[in-house]
Amino acid sequence: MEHVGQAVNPKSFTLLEVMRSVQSVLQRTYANKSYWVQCELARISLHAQSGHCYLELIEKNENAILAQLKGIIWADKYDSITEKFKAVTNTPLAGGMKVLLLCAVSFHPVHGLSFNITDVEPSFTLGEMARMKNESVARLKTEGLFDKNRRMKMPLLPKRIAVISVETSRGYHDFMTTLLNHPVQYAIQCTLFEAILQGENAVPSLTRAMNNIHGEIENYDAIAIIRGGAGDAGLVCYDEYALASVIARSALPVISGIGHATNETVVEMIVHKNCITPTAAATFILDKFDVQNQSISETINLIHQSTKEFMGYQKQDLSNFSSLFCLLVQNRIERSSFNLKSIHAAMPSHVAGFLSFARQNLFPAVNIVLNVKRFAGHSVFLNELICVSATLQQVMAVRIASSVEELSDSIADLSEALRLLSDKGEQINHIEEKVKLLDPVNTLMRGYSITRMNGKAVTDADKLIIGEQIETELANGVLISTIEKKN
Amino acid sequence: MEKKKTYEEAYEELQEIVKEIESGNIGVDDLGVKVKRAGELIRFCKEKLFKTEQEVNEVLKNIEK
Repeated sequence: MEHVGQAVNPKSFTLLEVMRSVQSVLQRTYANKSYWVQCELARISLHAQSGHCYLELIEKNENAILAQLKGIIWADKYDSITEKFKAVTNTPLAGGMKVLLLCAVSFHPVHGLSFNITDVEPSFTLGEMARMKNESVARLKTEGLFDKNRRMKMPLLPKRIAVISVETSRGYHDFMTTLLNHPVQYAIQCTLFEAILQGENAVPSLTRAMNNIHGEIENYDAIAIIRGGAGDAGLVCYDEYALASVIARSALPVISGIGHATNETVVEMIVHKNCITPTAAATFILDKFDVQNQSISETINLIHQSTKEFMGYQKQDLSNFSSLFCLLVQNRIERSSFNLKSIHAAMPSHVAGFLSFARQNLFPAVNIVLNVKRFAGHSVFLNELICVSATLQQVMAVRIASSVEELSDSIADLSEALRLLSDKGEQINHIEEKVKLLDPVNTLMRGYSITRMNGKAVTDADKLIIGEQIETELANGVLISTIEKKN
Repeated sequence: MEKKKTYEEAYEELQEIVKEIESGNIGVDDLGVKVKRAGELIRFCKEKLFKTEQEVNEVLKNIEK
């Protein structure tokens, strides 16, 4: 070993020599060539002073990063690339996006390997975003989460709102201002849970806010996610299954007011109520209160009106009944009056009948009396006379009694009528005159006589004894006779 | 008014009373009772609309004392 003991270095190269060698090898293969490369944009940062944009590009599967490389968009290309991208996707280039970039492989001894990015194909990103969105929707549907929050019952009055927003944001300001400037001050209480609402960190931050709310869920009626005033950037997170599933599982109905111009995000599809803007979200809550307020006012009016109507019906019923009652009473009075008139009309014929009966019985009696006079002292005639007289008296008594009864009935009718009709007094007077006609004195005036013994009217010849004296009262004067014979 | 009643329950009961009154199938004596109850429910609902839970609880506490 001839070189033993001597420090002989193996053949070596300087770092720069190696780097230049690599550079020349790469240049031979890649110089002046560009390739369209699919990758994920892990990070993007714009260097403010130089205007150059530095990207972190990765490819990964579910478990690990499989490839990683730096990318640079030089300042002179930056504006055209970002504008082209935004024009199609409606969102700026942002972390988390799948992108298709036109890349040239570049190697620099100091900065190493990187892509020099000269163009972008935004429709690829759009397609990837749509694919991710579709996948989210499909998975939520499969897991039964898509309709879960939408089907939850919103309380009639969502009074206690957990608001996920940023205190200094325009959206939160609009939301709170709309609530506070409403003409009617309802008891709506908002509690703010701060969270990042767009970009790469939005998913974990929003998830944390949701968890915090659920830690004190009994204090809230609904959740409102309020974003706005930050443009349409970084909304991809709202299409992600990870965030959408957390919101779909919420135990409270969620109202979204995310405020953007692009298509509805997955989160907006699955929330209980999606409002286009924070202002609309506030209006949605206020409307619920307005509806109830209006309904209560209408109910008050309805109760007033119904009660009034009801009482009206009751009054009408009562008045109908009293009319009917009046009619019945009037009817009764008319019937009484009619009865009275019939009695009145029948009275002369009653009296006439009585008189003719009396006459029929009286004429034989008168004849007998005349015979008695003619055959004065003849005891047979006298006895006949006494007999007839007694019979007459009996008949008279019966007739009088029945007349008096009829009359008293009439008087009863009359007095009833008198109570109801004061103007019937006249008729009563008339009846009274008729009654007078039937007085026994008047009967005597018509030729009847009353036979008495010892001051008592004699009605039974058997009770008389021959030889005793009897008194016969006439209309004028009294006869004293002695009984000579009885039949 | 029962303490634990929710706005929903009060509102529902109120609507039932209104339906009953509107239908007219109710006695005059009952009407008075129902209208009085409706008044209580309306007051409760209005309180829920315009007063926060804290205010309502304060009122209840004061009543208890």
